[in-house]
Amino acid sequence: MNQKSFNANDIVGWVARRKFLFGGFLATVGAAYGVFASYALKFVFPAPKPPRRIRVFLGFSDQIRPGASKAVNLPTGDQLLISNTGKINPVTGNTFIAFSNSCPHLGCKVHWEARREEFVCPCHGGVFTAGGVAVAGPPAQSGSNLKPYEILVEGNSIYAVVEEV
Amino acid sequence: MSRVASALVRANDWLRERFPVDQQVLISMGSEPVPGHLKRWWWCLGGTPAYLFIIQAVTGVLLTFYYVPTPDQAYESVAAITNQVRFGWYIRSLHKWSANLMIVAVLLHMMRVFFTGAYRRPREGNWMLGVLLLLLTLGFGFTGYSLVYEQLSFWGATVAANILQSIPLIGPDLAGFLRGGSHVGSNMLTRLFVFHIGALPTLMVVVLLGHLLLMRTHGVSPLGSPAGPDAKRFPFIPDHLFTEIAVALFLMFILTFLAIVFPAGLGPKANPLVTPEHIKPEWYFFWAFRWLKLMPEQAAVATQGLFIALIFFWPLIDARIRKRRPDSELSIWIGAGAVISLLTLTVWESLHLLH
Repeated sequence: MNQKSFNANDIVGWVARRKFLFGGFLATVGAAYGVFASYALKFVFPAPKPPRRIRVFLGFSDQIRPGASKAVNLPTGDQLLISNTGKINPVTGNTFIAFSNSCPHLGCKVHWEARREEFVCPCHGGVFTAGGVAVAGPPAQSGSNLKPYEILVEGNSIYAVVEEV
Repeated sequence: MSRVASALVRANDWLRERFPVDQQVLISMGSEPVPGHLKRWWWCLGGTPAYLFIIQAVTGVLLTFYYVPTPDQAYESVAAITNQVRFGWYIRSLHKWSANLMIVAVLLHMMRVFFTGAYRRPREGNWMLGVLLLLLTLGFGFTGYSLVYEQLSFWGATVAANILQSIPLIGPDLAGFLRGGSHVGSNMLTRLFVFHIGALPTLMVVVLLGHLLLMRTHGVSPLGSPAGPDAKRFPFIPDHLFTEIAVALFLMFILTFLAIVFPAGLGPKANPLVTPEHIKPEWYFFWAFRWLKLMPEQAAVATQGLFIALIFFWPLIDARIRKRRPDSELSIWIGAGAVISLLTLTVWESLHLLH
């Protein structure tokens, strides 16, 4: 009997092997260029860097007396309102609080009312606590609070710590 | 018929109507039967530089996103690409290594064509286009290296401009054109950049298309007797295309290996006031650099020009020789002599630089 003769199963196996190898070849080509494409995409889009935090000088502490407040323009374009509550905050160890003075409702400027110890928006009667939390008016209805700023008191100088633009 | 199938048929009909290309003609053009010797690996060397050129174009466009072609920022931007941008080292190393491999592949392809006599009638014109492609590739190498603006590449560009200047009659104008003035500075960097990313790629694509068109119209050159390996022909697409894709995959592996093991480095920043103690060009100009040291500058430049002209017009010279002596094997001896001379000059210069 001829040992080299093929039967139908051999041919099916051979075709299947060719298909498998061809599929493997295409998959390898796809994987190689897929990896390259992913690297190229990462190259094109710069990695997001954590923004640098910088200090912005706000004023001298003895110039903002208890009950007074001062608006300061920030390099970010926002305006900050620093207020002296006259009461030492146990967390920060000083009497100053700082918030964006833009009302989260429609952007009117809020002011600090020392007697009520509240921020008040003149446009639609928005009221915020000394912690910036909305308690009355449209901001309270939508639950929008004043944006807080981190402050640093070194000696007589007060700074805001903000992210560089 | 399912809805998807009928939508596909409609889309196909829409495209066929707008782009009335006869698909059968395209298929028969692509599946042209090519001689059996194209199965050999040496015959993939034409597609290799073309593939490497595509890698150069892709990585080159990516690098251009960050490169700044001004004397005070060029070096810093390359440093930023290498050290800060995500995968910047990989893209830059791929660009550098594919440039080097492209020169190797072009030279090997050229040697294959030369030693198999594939440049002979009627393919003399295509050999000349091939020599132009070699010169363009070297031009890419020179301009690209100079863009890094490190000490060696800066002084390499300075020396190259001065060599140009020594060419009789046209030299000073050529050097002035390259430098954009009397000294190497921002004008020259801008020009090198424009050549590297604009003029040379455009020329390359045009000449490459001509090269491929001529190759296609003449057909692949025969090898040996028609009853030999060429008797069994096979279709260009898909057989030869898949061989080239396999070569491309292998090259991608080699390039990645080289990029990881030998990433593109960065020397000290260019300083126009201090010439480094040892200046050297890239390895593919070592032969010319050594030649310059062996004789007076003008003689060296003239003989190099003559050598390139000899390569360019070789099919015509060879035809004259073979007209007188049809069985002459002089071309093989001259070719071997040229290869050995170039290798000797290159190795000589590298050994000199090592010490």
